[in-house]
Amino acid sequence: MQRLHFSFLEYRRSRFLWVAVLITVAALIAYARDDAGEPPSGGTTLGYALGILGALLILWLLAYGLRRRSYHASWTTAQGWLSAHVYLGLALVVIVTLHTGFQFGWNVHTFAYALLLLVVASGCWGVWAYLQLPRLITDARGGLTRADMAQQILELDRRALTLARAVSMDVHRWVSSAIEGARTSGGAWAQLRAKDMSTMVIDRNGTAASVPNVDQYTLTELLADLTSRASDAKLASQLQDLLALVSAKVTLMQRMRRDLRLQGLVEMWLLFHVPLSLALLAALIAHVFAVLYYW
Amino acid sequence: MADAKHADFKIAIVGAGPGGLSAAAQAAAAGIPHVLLESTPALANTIQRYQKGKHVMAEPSRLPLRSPLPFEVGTRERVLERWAEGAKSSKMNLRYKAEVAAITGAIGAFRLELKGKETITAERVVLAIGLQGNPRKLGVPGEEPRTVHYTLDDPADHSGETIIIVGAGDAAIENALALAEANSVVLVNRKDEFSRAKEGNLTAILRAIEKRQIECFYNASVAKIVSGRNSSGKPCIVTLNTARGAAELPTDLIIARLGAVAPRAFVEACGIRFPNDEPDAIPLLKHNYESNVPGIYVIGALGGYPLIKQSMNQGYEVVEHIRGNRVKPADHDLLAEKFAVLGANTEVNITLANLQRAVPLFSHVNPLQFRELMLESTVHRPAAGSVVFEHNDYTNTLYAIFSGTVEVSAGPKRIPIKRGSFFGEMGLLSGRRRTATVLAGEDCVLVEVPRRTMNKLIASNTQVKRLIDEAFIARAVQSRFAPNTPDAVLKQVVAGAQLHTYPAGAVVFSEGDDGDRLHLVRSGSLTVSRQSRNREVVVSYVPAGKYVGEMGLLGGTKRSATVRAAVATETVSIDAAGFALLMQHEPGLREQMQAEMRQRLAANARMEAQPDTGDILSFLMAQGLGEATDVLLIDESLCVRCDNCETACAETHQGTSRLDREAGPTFANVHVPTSCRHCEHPHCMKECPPDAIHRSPNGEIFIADNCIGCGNCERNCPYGVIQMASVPAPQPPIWQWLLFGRGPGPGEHKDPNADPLATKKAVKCDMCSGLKGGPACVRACPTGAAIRIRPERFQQLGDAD
Repeated sequence: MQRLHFSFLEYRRSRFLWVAVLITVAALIAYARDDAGEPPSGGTTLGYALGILGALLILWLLAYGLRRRSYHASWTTAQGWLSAHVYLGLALVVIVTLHTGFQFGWNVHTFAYALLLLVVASGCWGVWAYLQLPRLITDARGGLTRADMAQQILELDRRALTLARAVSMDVHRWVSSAIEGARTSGGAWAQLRAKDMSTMVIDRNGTAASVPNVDQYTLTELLADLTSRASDAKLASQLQDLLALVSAKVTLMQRMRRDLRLQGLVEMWLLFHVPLSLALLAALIAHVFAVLYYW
Repeated sequence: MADAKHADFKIAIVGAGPGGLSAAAQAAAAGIPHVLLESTPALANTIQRYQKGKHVMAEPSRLPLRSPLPFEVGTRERVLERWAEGAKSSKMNLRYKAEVAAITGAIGAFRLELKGKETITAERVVLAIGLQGNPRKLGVPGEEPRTVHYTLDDPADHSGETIIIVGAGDAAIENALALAEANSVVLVNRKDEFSRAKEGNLTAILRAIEKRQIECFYNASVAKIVSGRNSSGKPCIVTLNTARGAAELPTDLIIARLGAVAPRAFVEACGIRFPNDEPDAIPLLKHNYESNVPGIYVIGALGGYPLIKQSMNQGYEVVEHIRGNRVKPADHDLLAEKFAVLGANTEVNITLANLQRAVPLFSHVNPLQFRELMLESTVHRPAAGSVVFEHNDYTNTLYAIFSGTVEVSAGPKRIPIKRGSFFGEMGLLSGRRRTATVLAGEDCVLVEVPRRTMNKLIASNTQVKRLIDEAFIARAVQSRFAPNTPDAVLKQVVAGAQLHTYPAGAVVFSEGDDGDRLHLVRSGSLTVSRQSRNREVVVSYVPAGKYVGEMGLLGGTKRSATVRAAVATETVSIDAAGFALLMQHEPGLREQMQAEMRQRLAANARMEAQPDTGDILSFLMAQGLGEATDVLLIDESLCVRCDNCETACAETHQGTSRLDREAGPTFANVHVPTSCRHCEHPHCMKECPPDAIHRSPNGEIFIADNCIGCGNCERNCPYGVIQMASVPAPQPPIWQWLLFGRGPGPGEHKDPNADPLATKKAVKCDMCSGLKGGPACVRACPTGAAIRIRPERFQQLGDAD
């Protein structure tokens, strides 16, 4: 019996791994056996050959971005392209390194090479993210969709407000300000750290003050304090119900932040990979132009 | 007629729907004394009950209209308006609020007793009362048209009102949900649950009740309604009997959705006979629409013709028949065209009679029904040796052989099927691929009957059902186990075979039972499970066409596993004696069965060693995938949630994604998104008025362009995979968009100038049948998380680790 799902690394029994290995080995053998009578560099015949191969590969690798959005393309799959993209992208490092002949300097050529390494490195980060994070996302979701979570939070808020109104005006003010100040995401950095940026407004010596309300801590403290001092049983039980609603919301918000954090991590590498790729394309053009111009 | 003077009218027509109106208009035009009796205060009650603005179709479009009344495609309002005008200008004798309670007497002197003690006499009676019946009333003091409605025209007409809805069915729930957005809605349910509601409605209403958007009284009923001024400012006060005693509610409106009184009892009381007790049985009628009671005619939906145009034509024809005029039915030319392929220039009625005589299956069908069946069927005259259908095609029509023969090509053997017989019943009944290729013989004429027409016939005619069942059993046994066994032996085996029907979840047999029958799955699917370490582990899935229980027959031992129906399932079982007979006459059968049994035992043991796989299989079955033929599964351990699948779907399907990647349950990283699974017997096909939903030979279920946007399929799909979407605006060439800003441009599928009220049509996954290379969702998945598979391969799931 065999499996139904195969990752992009295993696509068609990893056929592109073998293609990449073949290209790499061929390049290494050619490099080792090259006897041009001059030190290896991009300027030898082999150097030019490797350079042309590398440039073509870079253009083809960039074309993946277009292919992924060609939804009518019929005789290849996005998975096959990604598989080839990953393996040939790795092979590219070897090919281009051999192309340099290990001659580095403070110039546009080495700059292009450095960019290439960064692009490939960010790609490796992407491979790691694609293979490791999906399981964590599934676990974090707990079977809920994001819309489900938002819906449940809204529902908890609605019930909390109704209950708070029944307790007192003060409590209602706290609860509604905590709802208004609740944040599931802040900036990109806060999202990646899953940091709770929630705030609420409390009355401090007669003036309204906005204070942090991480994991509804401030609200919980206020309600707990009130509960401990509650004189009649009905009030105490209402406050306890309110506390239960607040802690249910905290659980959901933590789950949502964790989900957003993971989603951010799954996509974050692209923020490097794509701009660096475009920079690489520009550097590649400059490199080729410089080589041809100063020939 | 001699006794004309004894009767008030020559013709009494009951029911002012399309058929009745057309008949009355024709009678008026011909100057025949007539009366049209309508129980409600308005005409065409069924069409009145359509929702506001609904687009009314004039199907079948090729059928000409013959009626003095106008009718063409348009909105409900326009159609009703034109009929009202027509009724007025034709000077027909139309009486509203005249409900007929009983019809007695005989031809020439029928007595129609109206509610309210009045009696009308007529020579002939035309029943055109439709199938909807009259809405069941509350039957409480104070019930009057101003405060109690039985339909909801347009929810948008109400806001800020207190509305009581009585009922627990889908209509009540849908009304309650629609009204709750802007009104205070109280639902009165006579029982303690919503047992009759569809799954989607049930979930929605329970959620709305839980959220207190709707107040629901269970085990409650309306006791009385007091209208008139009161302190509340509302027009009436309703008293409810609730589980906690009486409650008084100031109310604006009461909507009673208690279903309808089916008209069958009334029709039978008139002396008209039905062929059987099936709920959709149709009374036996002659070619002139006369029932078994001479002088009483039945037209329209009650006579089996649900479409408006057919009913109107019949209204015209029935009056002409009564006048003694011979009229060719409106469909005459259509049939003549169909029969043109036969070459002979024979009269249509004679050809119909010949066809019916030649095929015993159709000899039990009444001539009108047969005519209808032929209208929907196709007559073929294939060249000798040409392929009628191919092995593994997904077509599901039934063929009858009018003349010549066909050959079934089963492996190297060719089995002939003779004139008068039929074939294709396996594909029709199982909803799966054709099991063999069929080739046309010399001078062969075939009648191809579509799935829906055939299913309707099977459901309404017990003899047809019996003949098809018998043929199915014989051929299933023959092709599965005994291609070489003599017919006499086969007959003996078939005589001992039984047909079983199991609802989803029912046990076919249990582990430890005595094994005495082998079950061949006819439709649906089964799961096989075993007790292992104190819990039940699902070890395999048996789709239609395969069998279970052979182990018990071969070894004569106890059942080694429990077998359950995964979905509603039918099986054919063969008893031990019959099977022994087969093994005696069929060389190699025992060895073949033993080999299969060995394989199955080994596979079961492997599955038992991997309870996770069994758990995934159970999970998939719980999602209704036992009736799937092709399903989208996402491996969540690979899915990076990029939604490229949805984008690809939208981009290849006019901007509306037919799949919802995020929705749907997940188990052990196997996610079943909301996407069509192309069921064996698609629920969506059930009530499609224009018959627009079909299965292509490749297996995908698709909706054709003649969709009228009624939304039945959306409601009937238990998996929520059908959406109603606006018809996309055509895109101009891209240079026009670039240069002149003509829209919609690429990616913009919504036309800003589009009419928001324009008809929406049903859309669903068509497995990208127009694209080479398979479904776009799968091809666009960069990580390999999305796959589409056939359920036979479910067992491979979970073998990953």
